Amino acid sequence: MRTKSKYTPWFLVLPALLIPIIFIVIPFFIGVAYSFTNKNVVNPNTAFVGIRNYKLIFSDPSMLWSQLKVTLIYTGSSVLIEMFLGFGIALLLNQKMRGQKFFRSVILIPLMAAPVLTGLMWKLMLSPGGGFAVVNYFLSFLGFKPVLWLSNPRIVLYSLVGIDVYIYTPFVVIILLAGLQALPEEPYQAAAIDNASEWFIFRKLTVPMLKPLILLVLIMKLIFSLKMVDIILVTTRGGPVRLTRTLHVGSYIEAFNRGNTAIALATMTVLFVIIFVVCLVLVNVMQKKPTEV
Amino acid sequence: MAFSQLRLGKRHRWVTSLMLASVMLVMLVQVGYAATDLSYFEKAKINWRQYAGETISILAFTNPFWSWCGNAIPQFEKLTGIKVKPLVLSESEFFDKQMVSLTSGSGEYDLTYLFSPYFVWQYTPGGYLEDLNKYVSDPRLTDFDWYNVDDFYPAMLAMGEEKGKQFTLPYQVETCLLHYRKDLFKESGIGAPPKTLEELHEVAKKLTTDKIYGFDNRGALAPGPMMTPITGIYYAYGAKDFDEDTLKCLVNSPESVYVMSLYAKIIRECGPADWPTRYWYERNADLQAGKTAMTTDCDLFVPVFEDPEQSAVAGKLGYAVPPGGPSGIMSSAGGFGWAIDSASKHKEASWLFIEWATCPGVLLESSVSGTNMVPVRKSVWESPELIARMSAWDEFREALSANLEKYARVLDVPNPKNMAARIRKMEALQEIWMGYDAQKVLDKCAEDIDRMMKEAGLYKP
Amino acid sequence: MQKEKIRRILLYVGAIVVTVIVLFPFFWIFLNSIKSPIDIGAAYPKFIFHAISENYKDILLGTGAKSSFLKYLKNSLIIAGLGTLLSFVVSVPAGYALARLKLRSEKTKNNIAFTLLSFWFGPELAILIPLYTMYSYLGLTNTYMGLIIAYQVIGIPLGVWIARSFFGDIPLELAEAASIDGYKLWHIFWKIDLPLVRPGLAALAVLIFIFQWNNFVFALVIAGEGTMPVTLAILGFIGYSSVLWGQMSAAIIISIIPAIILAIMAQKYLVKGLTFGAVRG
Repeated sequence: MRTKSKYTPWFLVLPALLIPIIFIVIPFFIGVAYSFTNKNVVNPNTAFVGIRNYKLIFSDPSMLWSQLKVTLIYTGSSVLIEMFLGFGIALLLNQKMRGQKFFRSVILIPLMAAPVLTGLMWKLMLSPGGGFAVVNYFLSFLGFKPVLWLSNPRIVLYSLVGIDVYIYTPFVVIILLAGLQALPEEPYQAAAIDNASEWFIFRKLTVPMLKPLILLVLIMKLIFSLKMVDIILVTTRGGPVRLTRTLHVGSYIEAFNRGNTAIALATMTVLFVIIFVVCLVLVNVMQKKPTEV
Repeated sequence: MAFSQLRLGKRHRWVTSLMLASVMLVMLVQVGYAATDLSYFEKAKINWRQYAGETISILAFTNPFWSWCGNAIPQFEKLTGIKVKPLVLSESEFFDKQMVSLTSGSGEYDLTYLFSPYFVWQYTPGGYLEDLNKYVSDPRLTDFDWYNVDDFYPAMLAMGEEKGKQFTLPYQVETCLLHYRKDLFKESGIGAPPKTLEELHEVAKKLTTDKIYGFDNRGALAPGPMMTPITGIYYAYGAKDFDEDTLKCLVNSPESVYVMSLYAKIIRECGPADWPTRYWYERNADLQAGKTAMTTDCDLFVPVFEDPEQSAVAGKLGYAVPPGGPSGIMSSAGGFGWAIDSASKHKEASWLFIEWATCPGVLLESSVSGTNMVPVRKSVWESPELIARMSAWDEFREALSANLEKYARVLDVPNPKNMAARIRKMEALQEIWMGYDAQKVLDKCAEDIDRMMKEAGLYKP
Repeated sequence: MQKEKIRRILLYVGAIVVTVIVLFPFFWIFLNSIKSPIDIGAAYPKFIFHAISENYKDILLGTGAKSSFLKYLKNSLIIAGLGTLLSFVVSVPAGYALARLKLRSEKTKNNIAFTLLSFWFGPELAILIPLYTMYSYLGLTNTYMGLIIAYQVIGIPLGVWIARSFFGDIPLELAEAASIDGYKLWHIFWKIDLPLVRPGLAALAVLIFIFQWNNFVFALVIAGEGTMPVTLAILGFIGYSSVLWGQMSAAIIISIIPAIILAIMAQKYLVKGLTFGAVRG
């Protein structure tokens, strides 16, 4: 559409660009700049040190690599489970049934509560014993001994993945459900006439038509998981030892517990690059869809 | 040191007389304002209301002193007309926020309290803390005699001091006590409390059942669990964190490996399976519910442990000095102290708050009717009320006196990165607890800490 | 029809199982918010107990040094409310421009849109540490304004992206016709296109509000006593001699209520609104 002045569109877009640029982009680049210094809580004189911090976090396996591993396991597990589970539940809720509205409202609730609060709730419910420990309480009826959900080194990370699944599966559900609801009728009617099997319909009709949406949800979910920090800080703070210390959490500890601001910012820059690359790759895959306007 | 030198300021007498006159005038004008409970403060020859109308903000967390002090704030506000806005966080968030706000130079929180001397070491190089000597020696702000600086134990004041400047004013001190269940000891025929770590191990093993932890302690990844609970014992076995002269990290010395391994072993064999996630409130809850036979930690929890309304083991606990080692019996010492942010815009008003909060009357109140252990003022420690209160707690006062007189002192070498190193050391302890080879773990730990110290320009190999 | 019947039963069973799992934690925390300290500290989870309302009374009225929890609710409301307003006012026109108007080329528009979206993907701490320093100089720490601006990192990227997709999906014809007839841009936007996306925009506002309400890390660093939102205030219940679990549970329930109400009310719009972006990439 044409506008009177060709600058009008720019005026409309400008505030949306300016605010983030001043308060997000500039601090970010300042942060990146700091990552090349020795900025430290204890030392008032900040000096440029080049890539020393990066060399450090890449060379010490207990720093970047450990955190990266934790981040990848956390992200991979949570996203995988949520995509499949979410799709399944979306298909379920897409069926005509009584109380449809009720179920659909209910599924939103974990997403609507603050992750830090939900994390806190689960931390209480996953206690080994005592008045709050419902999970172990129910398990005891099935004959299981109390499980140390948040302190057993082998399962603690997966307990956190579980909390992430609880909060974000609804996210996948509502978006895919909306997509399912918007699907056109005709292809399905044609397939019914042709007596196609359910699995065939699903594989050849539903999934391809939903592909753009699936990709969208996948990108968003990947990024949420990659930078998740609320849940982990309120439950395990990266512990025991480094077992739940993701890149983001590790950076928090580095900055606020150890006072090594510059190293923390170096880790953050690396995380940002990872997120950026993931985005770039997946959005390009998405952009190839002909439905783009 | 500096504080006690200021006692000789009697030359300010004429100034104080003038002040007294003007204060009385002000008081006359505000007929009916002075409530009877403020009479104690009005004895001070300063104008409490000279900064009326200002607002100060305090960064706090709910430790024993604050749980009492927070409720007493209205008294201060009434006295001075200064509005107080506290931000109260949980412990971990408190330390994080404190670091952010003090080092930002924003002066967002005028006042906070720092665990001294350790955090004093951390924040003074950057000049983030205000020197309180200025305010205590200003007769306009402090009535020296009424405030009675001499009443403070010099050793405790020294915790907040560095290079002649007073950066924090401690209001409590913590030493390590062995808390043990006298009834369980009696049942199992155990006599005196263990005097060495090996003895502790034996006793703990004996007392451990599937319902009772022979020995429990905090284990979460925070500086706290690596401080008071274990430091005294650590040094008593000849281990130390840093070399005094070079600041090289010595956590991988043979003595250190021995102590850390043994301690981790005791926890593993006699303690809770979720140890690495426990803060003091989990450990205390279990102790209060009767699930723990022994623990080593700060003395300041005792009022709660001995409160029948909150603790099922009130009256059943005994207290002793911590187990010692080849180098003797040792306990760490540290205490929270008030500090003013050097970037604060309300320093004088903040000082008035500190003066109020640490004056003899208020500190007495906080220890007698509150839960602020251990007092830093002689008058409070020796007050009949406090002695009466403590006498209900068995051997507590005895053990505590022994600590204060003989065994407790700041064992660590002054080092701005002390706290950061502690957290790293706690990580190592967790790894040893998980079963990794102690020497390897501590070698890596020493390496990391050395590197951190080098970065900060503190260690020059 | 046997197969059909089994299907139906499985369907309902599935839906009910999901519902129970989803709702149980909230139910459990609610139960604990009406328990007395003794029952909470029991050796095993109690489902049958004597209910009390003290926890809610205590936190809503405030006790002594602790101010009423309503203060924190107010803070959250102000910050998220004004934050959403600002995000909305800034992103909807931007989304419209990116969807409908000429901005050099499609590629440019896509680049701008993607750039904006990327702001949302930044990990909070990468921005927070330098931002706090910046705020200290500007005097924005512990101010509503400071938090509202910081929260735009959540509101604007999401807002623009979704608004753009909404506007991109509604038919062009009416707008084009009006344009040819000489109507001004403002008129077309306000009278023709905006009404068409109203449900979707309602959903967008709800979504932004909830994301901003739920933020924790920004509040942790930037907020202070006067501006502390509920997500941060909850942690204040971790006392020293005893964690006030009952009160904390009550506070959690209260903090979640606005979001739940909005979700239920806006459910219709949320699903309908997101449909606009459904088939679109």
